[in-house]
Amino acid sequence: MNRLISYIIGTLLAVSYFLSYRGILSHVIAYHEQHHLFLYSEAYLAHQLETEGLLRYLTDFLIQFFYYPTAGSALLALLLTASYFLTRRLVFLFTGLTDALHLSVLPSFALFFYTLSAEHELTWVTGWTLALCGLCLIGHLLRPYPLLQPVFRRLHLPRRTGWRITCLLTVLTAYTAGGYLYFIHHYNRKEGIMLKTEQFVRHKDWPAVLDYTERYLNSGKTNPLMAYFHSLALYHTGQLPYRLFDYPATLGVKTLYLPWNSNSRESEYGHFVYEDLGYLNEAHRWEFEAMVVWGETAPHLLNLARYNIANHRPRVAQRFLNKLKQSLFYRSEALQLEKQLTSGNVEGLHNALSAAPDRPARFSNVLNLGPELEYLCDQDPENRMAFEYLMSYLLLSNNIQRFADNLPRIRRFHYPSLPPAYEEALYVYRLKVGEEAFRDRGFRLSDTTEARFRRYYQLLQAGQTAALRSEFGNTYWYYLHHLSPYGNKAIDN
Amino acid sequence: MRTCLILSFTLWLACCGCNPYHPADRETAEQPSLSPHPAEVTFPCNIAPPNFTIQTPGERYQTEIGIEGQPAAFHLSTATPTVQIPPKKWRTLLGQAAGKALYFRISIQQGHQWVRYADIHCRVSTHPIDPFLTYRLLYPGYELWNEMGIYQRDLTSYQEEAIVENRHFGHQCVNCHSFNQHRPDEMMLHVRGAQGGTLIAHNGKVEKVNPKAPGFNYGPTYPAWHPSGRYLFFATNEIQQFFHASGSKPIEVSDLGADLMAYDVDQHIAYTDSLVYGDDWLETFPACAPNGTDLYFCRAKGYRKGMALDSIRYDLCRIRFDAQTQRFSDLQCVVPASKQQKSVSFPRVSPDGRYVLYVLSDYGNFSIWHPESDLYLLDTTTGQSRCLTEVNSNDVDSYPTWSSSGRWIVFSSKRMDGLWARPYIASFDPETGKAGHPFVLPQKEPDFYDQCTYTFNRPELILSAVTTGKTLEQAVARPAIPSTRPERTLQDEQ
Repeated sequence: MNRLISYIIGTLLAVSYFLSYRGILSHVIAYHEQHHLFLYSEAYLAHQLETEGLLRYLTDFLIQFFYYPTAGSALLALLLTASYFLTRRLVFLFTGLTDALHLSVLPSFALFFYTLSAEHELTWVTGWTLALCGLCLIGHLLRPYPLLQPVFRRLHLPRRTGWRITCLLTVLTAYTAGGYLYFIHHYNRKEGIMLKTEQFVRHKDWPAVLDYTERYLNSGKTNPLMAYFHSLALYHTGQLPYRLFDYPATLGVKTLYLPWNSNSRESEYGHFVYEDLGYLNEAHRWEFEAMVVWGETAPHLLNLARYNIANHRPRVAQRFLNKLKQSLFYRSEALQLEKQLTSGNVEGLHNALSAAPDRPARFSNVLNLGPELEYLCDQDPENRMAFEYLMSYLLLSNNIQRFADNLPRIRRFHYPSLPPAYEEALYVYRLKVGEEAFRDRGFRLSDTTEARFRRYYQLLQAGQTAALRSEFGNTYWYYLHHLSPYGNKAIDN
Repeated sequence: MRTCLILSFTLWLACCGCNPYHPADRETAEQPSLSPHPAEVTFPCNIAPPNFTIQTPGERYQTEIGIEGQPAAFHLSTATPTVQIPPKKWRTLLGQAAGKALYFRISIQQGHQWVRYADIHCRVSTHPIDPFLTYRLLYPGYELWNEMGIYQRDLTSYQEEAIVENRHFGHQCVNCHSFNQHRPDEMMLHVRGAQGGTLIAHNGKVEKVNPKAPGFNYGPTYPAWHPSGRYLFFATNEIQQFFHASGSKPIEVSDLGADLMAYDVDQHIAYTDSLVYGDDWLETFPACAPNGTDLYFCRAKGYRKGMALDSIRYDLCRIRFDAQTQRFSDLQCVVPASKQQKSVSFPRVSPDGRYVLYVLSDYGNFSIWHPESDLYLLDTTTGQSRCLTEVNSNDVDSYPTWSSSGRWIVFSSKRMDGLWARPYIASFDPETGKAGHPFVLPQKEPDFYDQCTYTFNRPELILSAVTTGKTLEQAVARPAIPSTRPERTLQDEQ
């Protein structure tokens, strides 16, 4: 009977764990897979054993199978469930008694809860499972070990069946309820959303990125990474000029990018915007920094290979591909890229500065994206992303004059009408330079914008802040006057 | 049955052990493609076997190695193109071949035919190379770092061991290891990070010091030992990284300020002089001649805000240093490279003081990131410089260093791929000032460099293994001994 119950518990545990890792904790599986790369080479074995140890090597071996999330979830669920059965076996071996209270569930739970955070190394899971296996082996050799018997005898269930069932149900209910409550209180929702968003960004699933970032932003929180991802998603879904101010852009220009702060955590994310802009040297720099900090993992190696192919450095790309070719699951991708080594063409990559002159040397502004966007627009005038990011940058930095100066670049692209935020900025520009100068530059404002500003001004004058936020919270005027971290005045230049 | 087993075993042993030699079915005048290629190289008589991969396609491979004019000393027959020369046989051969020419004779089975390719010729020098090469291994990254260490490689084998590894002290940066006249017991290195300082092994003890004395503008970076061991010359720099927006050069490392100082290792006193200190000039990369008097260094006009980085060019200069009075005097420009729109970096003086190896690039001083960088040789007796064409490549050739005998040079080259620096070794004849064809540091696995994503930084030859590694690591946690200024003030020096 007890054995049957243990099988039922084990099955329930395995299914619950598996479903968790396939569902609410799917980001944990993906995170580990993206931050470890197991290589089938002697050099890797020697390096890992010397620097990280055998346990890490074995853990990385297991993590490679997370490439397939279902397999990864099943594997991790299996390890955690095995921990339950092994502990149970251990209790028996060392006490001669069965674990009637199913206390063996607790270590399994503890390990599962430990994996809730993606930051936690899975070496504990493999280490614990291996330790249990080892202890079981010792237990088999030495059994029976009587010292612990009295302790467990006291924990034994009463003999009467009714009481036994009651006790068992109570204990199992307590485990379930306790586990559930612990999970609810310790599950890091913010981390979950952020890591899932990052996965979607990597897969260029922009509607999903928009969905997740808005879930986050709707909670009223502000986070540079989420704002950055949100801007990327807006651009890729064709909404950047139209929805830039949908959420309070209190971060200013940092809504668009991550300035280089020598921050090892941020180093993983900075390359996205540069890659999409076609600014490959900067994308390469961010990715290389990330590899230095986070190690030779598949995303970094793949991206570095791609950037170097597109930048006509095939021999450098080859080195990164050589590494990937030693892995089980990235080998085919590496071989695919290897075929493109000398072509300089990589699917989905655009080198916006391929024709830029080498002399005089021009250096990137790693703190401020603005000058780089202008440079990109000059070198690659058809670069729509560079244009929209430049316009957004100038709006967010209160730089109305330069916004107006650069707006004529819009003629290279097809917009059904001037985006409202651009018209709003032009309205402010007109207030600054006067009607005549404004008209001389060939700008024109729609009647709707004129009327909307009158309404905006009326509410502003009346001090009706709530109504103003409700009606105009997503306008450039509201941003400029109430949210901009650079003050409520337009900057001349 | 037993007899049958014994016979089978004997036959199997014979098949495996003998590696029968296959005479060539035909010959070709072409040379096979090998990586690394040993052609025309002069090897030291104590170097580890230069294993290689045969890149010419085939089904089986046969390599014969021997002394010119003699039958092959041994032959290797392999089913894979990887040729790993047995160390014992190689050592024996080197013993017999010192001062003579060697040949590598490759035959490749292609289809049913064995094709013999043209012999590859190289030489074995009678001069051994210093047995250990030290270098820092790290990713050729930019600003962030994680794992790095300083290692020593036994050149007579493939044995590599760590001198210090930063994982033992919080992943802080270690850099600029330097040895006094190739002595492993007289060395220094910098640690950057929470426990930053300069570790100096000298006179049998290890100290952690801060050579930056009060009043100095910048902290110490690039070092050079005075041959007496009492002084360490440092460039003190304000260094900044800049990143190229496009093109193949990823990064520019530039000084925004740089001076020179002499640091008294025993007394912990920092000396300088207006000749090598101040905003008018950028002085960097000191290199002391064996006479202890001539100090070579690179010098460019001082950086001013807005100055284009590709307009900063360094000349090679020399100044006299008096170890008794700690005074600098008699500053001269010995290679006015900036006049030719070129820039000098990493000067290194030969052990006899006659030659100075240096790097010439288009601008700046961090030539390791400049593909146009080449090694040049200055003969101090004639004042003439020449491009060391016999060792240079189309990619970066930088950071040269001498062996203690002056018969070998080691330098960093990125000729393999353009990103990772690898140590190359070349023979050098002090009589003629000519270098031999260089070869990359041999590795047990010939494809080692295809897989290695670490760069070999600051290769330096030493006479024996460093044994103070643990002591150096332990010293990181100690507080740094502060430096003082001499009685004379900085104003006096200026």
